[in-house]
Amino acid sequence: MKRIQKISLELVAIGLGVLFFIPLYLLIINSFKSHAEILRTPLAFPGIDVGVDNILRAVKQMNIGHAYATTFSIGFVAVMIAISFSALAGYALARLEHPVFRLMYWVFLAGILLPIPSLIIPLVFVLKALGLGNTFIGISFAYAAIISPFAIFVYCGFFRTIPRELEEAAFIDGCSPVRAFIQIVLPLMKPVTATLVILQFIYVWNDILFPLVLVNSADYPTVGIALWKFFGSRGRTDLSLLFGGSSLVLIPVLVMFLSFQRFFVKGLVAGAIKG
Amino acid sequence: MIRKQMFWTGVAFITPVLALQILFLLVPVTVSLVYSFTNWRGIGTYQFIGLDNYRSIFSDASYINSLRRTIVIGFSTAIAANLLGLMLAILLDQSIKTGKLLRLLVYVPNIIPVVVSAFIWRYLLDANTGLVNLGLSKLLGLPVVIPWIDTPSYVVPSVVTIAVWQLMGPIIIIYIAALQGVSVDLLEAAAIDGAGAIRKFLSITLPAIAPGITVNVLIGLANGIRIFDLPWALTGGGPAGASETLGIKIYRYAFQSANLGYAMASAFTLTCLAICVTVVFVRLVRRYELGVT
Repeated sequence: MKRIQKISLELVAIGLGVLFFIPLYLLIINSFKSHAEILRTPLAFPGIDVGVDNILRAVKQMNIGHAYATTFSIGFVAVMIAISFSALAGYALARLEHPVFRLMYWVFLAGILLPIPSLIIPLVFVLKALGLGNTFIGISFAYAAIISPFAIFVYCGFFRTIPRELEEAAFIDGCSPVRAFIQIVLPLMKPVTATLVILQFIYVWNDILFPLVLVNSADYPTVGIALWKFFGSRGRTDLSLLFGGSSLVLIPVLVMFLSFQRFFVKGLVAGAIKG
Repeated sequence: MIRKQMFWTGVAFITPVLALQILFLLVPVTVSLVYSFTNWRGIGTYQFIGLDNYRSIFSDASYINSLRRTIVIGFSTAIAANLLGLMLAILLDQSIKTGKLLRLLVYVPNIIPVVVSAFIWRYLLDANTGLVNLGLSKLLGLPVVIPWIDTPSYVVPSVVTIAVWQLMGPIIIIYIAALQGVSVDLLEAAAIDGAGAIRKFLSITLPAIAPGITVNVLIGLANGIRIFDLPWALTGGGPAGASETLGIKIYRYAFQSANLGYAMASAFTLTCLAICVTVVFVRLVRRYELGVT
């Protein structure tokens, strides 16, 4: 009886996994098929005649190198700023019980819930007024600002799980708070930082709203926008090319996610539950 | 001595991020509030016209519809994602062999770029050639031609379904962690006292995972209310504006009808909507928690 129950649970799990996997599966296999093949047998494995031809054609037509470089540099700068600032703030919020810091915790938390579409139009004018309209620095800092509330929240939750005795012992020995942070806390932050870096980089990589509105897409073609335009200019006449282009945008984040996913559960959960 | 030093170090630690957020979050919200009372067109001079913009947008039927639609999407995303997420998390918590792989697969939709997801789903949900309809036809043995994204009545449920599919990963991770915190001793004691599975779930598991539920419902609500890119990439807000959310409406006011006043007024309305929903929800949770303990 127990055994049957166990097996049926496994089967349900496998079924659900397959269901969730179908879209990704379609994307991957159809990237290696011709347009006619996709229409005729969408679910079948590809033959060997097309190979990476779709992807190579998409590389050329999307000018993907430029898009990769643009998106990667925006994401890199935004995530670096957001992560370093948020780690500091999260640490302060987790350790200080002063009412000012308690209030700040709620202020930062409110930042997570601000709907980005409601910020975006006024943000255009704020950036213009600062002389940062249509600039690399402008969009990177704007990204840093909108992804940092979540990072603060997760860091704060994480620091609360670290016993403060370690630092208190150091203070007794005459260590300054800054040194305690650098020497004791910083080395413990690796898993949670890895999680945040990946999640937030993926957010920037996938976003289309900011590059659509804040910058000129000819000057800063991010991957999302490049793909969006690529689709727009082609309609549905050549599915093989569209699947190839989609794979180009997806592959970097998928690789990144798979190589870091072992940190995921630990890193995310600390902030969400204990926070 | 160290206390005072700690305080000022703390101030120094939060200042950079605070400056960043004031400049790029608080100032824009304020700007949207101030300019929502003007007839500014993006350049040149402007006058303050009081509540005229709000009066205009709220008497625009398409705006009211998009407001209502945004709220519907927010709540149905939150409810569906949490019911399904909790069930999946309970399944994954049963220490089954395929659990790790499933957890990974369920997370993947969350990292797929929205433009790509929209493309794949448009392909899957196409009325005539989409795999969903073809699959249903085979299953039921009769031709099924449901226009999932091409008719106004189906497009919102389709958007919600895709949004739930995207959100499942983070929600399940949080539920799994919450479930692992449920006291096994308590569950065993209840079992000895003759409590059934449902009774145990309602009286022990549910109160224990309440913080996780709060976080997850907020994730669902926040993501549903701010949704822009998914309907934008899936249908462009169509057909006939049937999947236009407030986010899309703001964009249209600003860039397609060049009416900044309307855009700012609807932007500020969206901010207020998000704040109201959050505050009401958090209050309800507080009351529930006080009632339980």
